[in-house]
Amino acid sequence: MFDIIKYSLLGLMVLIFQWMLGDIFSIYGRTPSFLVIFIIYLGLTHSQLHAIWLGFLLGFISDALTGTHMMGITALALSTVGYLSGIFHGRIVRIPVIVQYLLYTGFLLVFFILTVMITLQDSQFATGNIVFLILLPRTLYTLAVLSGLFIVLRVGAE
Amino acid sequence: MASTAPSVSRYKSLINLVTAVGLSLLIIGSNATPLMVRVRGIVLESSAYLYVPIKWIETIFTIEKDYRELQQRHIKAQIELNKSRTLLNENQRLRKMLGFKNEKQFDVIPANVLSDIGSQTMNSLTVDQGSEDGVTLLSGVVDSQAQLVGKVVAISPHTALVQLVNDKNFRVSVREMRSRDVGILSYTLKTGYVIQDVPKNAEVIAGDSVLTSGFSDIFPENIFVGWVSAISPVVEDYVKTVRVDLASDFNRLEEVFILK
Repeated sequence: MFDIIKYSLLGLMVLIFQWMLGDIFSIYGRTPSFLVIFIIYLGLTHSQLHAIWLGFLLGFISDALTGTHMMGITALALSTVGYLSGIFHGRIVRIPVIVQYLLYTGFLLVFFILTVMITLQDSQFATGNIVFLILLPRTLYTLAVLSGLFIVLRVGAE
Repeated sequence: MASTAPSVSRYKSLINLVTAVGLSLLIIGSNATPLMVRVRGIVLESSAYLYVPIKWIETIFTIEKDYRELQQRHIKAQIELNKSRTLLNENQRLRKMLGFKNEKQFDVIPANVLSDIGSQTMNSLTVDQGSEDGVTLLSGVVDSQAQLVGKVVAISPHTALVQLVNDKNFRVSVREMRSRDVGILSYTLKTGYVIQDVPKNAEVIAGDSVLTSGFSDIFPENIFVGWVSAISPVVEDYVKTVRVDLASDFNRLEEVFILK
């Protein structure tokens, strides 16, 4: 129970950080998603169920704050990523490092494909532009931040 | 009975995922319902409480500088106002002579910016005025220079969410000052802010002013939007695309004015 409260509060802090200070990390308008990093971390190191539901809750609040016209899409994406990362809970240390980072890239792609591609599908942007100008830069940027944080936090290390 | 319990436990995570995804889809499908609008309002209202103390501390450090700036602006504006009054009188007299109808009047509600949010899908900001202060949905929003900022897309009793002009989904009907041609200003990933389908013979040059056309109920006529920065080559021989630099500096907005 204590863990649920602890990680919920931590999640809210990450959300507030993303919301208030996310722009500081903006490079050419592309910002990393700290929320998805947190949910991946939670799924890998703590609990799959908590990752799913905290992903849902934080995603929902994030959608309400950003005013997106598809409220609920981030909730869907984060809970899916929570589930996927939770599959490797307790097992990630036994996986080779390169495969670990391939998995992280996969998680991030799932998240950004769901949020970016679906949200912008009815916009006037060509799919190629969305992929190369938004999806891939944000995925790579978030992966770089995730890598740095996971090395510091020793996620995936024995 | 005994055999079902282990299988439920085995698929516990999957069942939770399906439930969460189902709920998410339900939310996506009911975005415009009153319940969801209310929930969004509650989240916005709660988020404002986080920002108020931060804003208050910021204000302490900047208040004197702001006051001096405002004094300078006030003097300049007063001089401009005197000039404008003379021109307005003349204009009203001439309009009366020509039999024009009076223009629509509007009030403004000053609002402090609580937060600005940039995401891949929406650029928006939250302000500290809401429905109880007279703000209504789809009200136009301008900055202190009366330059177009955006429109209100969600409200709660004491806060409002403003979709910015630099949002990818924002569209506004604009008029180019020199040619008087009208078009829709929108954002494209490759070229930035553009007015599309401008007639090829329109006399548009870089540096021309772009203002709202007044063709929508949201924005009154003649709100400054920005400047023409470049004109694309003529496409298909009959229209061209005009690139626009927006006037308002969205990174430095501290207060805005909501048109009522």
